[in-house]
Amino acid sequence: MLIKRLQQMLTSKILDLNNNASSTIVGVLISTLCFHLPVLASDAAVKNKNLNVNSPQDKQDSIIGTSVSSNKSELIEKILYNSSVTKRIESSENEKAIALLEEARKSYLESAKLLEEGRKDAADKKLDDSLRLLQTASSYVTDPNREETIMRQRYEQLGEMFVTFREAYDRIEISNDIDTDSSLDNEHLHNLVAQANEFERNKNYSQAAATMEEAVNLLKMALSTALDKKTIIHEFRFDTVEDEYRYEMEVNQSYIKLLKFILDNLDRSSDRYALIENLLQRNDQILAEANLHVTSGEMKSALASLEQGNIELMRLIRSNGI
Amino acid sequence: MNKLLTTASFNKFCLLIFFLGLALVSGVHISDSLAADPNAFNRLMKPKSERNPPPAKDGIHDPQNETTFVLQPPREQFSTLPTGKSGNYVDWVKALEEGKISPRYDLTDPSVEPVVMDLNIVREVKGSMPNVVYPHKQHTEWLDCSNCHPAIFIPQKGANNISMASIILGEKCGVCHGKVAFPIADCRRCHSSKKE
Repeated sequence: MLIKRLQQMLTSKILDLNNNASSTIVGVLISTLCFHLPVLASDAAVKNKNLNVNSPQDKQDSIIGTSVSSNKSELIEKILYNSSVTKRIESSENEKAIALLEEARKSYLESAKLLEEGRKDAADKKLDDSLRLLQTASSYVTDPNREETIMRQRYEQLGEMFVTFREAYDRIEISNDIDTDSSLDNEHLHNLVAQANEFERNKNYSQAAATMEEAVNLLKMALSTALDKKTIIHEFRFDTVEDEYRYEMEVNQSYIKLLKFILDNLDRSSDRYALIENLLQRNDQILAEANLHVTSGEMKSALASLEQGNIELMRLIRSNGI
Repeated sequence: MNKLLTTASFNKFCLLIFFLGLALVSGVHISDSLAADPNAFNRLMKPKSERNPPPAKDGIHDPQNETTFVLQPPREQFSTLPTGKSGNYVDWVKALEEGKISPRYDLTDPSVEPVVMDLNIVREVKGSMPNVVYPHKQHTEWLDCSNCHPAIFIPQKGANNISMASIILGEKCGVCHGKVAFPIADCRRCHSSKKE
């Protein structure tokens, strides 16, 4: 049953391969077949042993082994003869890749012969060889769709980085203590971004990413020059009590997260488990109390309750050896 | 005489029971503390003897793969590098400064040089702990700005809420520290600026 489900799953992946050729999917398939199938087989073997207690163990293993090998063989046959990856390799002019594909097919045929002879271990080894050869062949031939996706994603990522660094640069430019004069050629930067966007509109993602990267690097250099040998102090200071309360609340949440993690690793019957659970309940009460203060507008009292709660949680974390 | 022997035997028996009980209780405590080791998830906080195992035993590389054994064992490689006090006992910053290592900055182009930013961020903290100093220089010699910004840290004052709990849980600094960079148990390496 398990193997059948896996087969269905992989078959759908192969169909995906036909629609959208991807060497990564081949890689995933290869690792799935090479490493997971034996594990699944042993899992199935354990289950079958439980179901058929009277049947001889050796016979059972042999049946399961053969069925795994033949399923694997069928799947590899589909990949080798009827997938977009192989079509891509065949239609390419890369002689090395084509030769490797041929070798992979040869290895597959040998495995089929070995399987017929009942030499399933040797057949399995040949099947793995065949997959490895196919993977190498696939890596020699670029998949244009995949390449385009990667470049588009790269362009988007660089765009985000550009915005982040531009904002950071603008912020330091506004501050009085750091001189940003002449460290950035704004006109050139503007042109680069415009060019990158133009490339993206024309779906030339590779050029778009390269140009955007140039723009990001310019910003990085400018930031590096402007902030060279500087020290920026992030004061522990809040403009309003509400801000401080929000900060303490986030700290409280992170402490709870950590304590729950500790709880997950503790024996439920241990004293420590009970202690942490009690203090977490107490923390819930403190939070409710603080919330009441907030609704009645007593922010200072709310903050004081929360701070006290956080101190208790911190002590509890430390007493647990962290 | 017989009575004396019986009393002595009884006392011995009681003593035996006491020690057995003690052993059992301490055994329970030890196993409890082992099972609940709060730092078990911290890969770099293993006992010294278990650090830097050969690739086949590190739980990362596949011991079934023959090529795993071709890789150089870390202990052999690290023996020439400056030693550190924690983690994998290598002072990587010093190793880079002394030119003992020259990591490639770009995967595809070996000629790419890093954009090093010599900027210190001092982060004031609540309580009695010294403030945290974050040196960009040591980080940017290894990493690109985009490794941290904006996904892990927003490059803006007050925009990042960092707590030790979140770091321990693998967020913020904990994305690297405790996994591939020195462990957070080495408090004073970050909390290094005295409060005035």
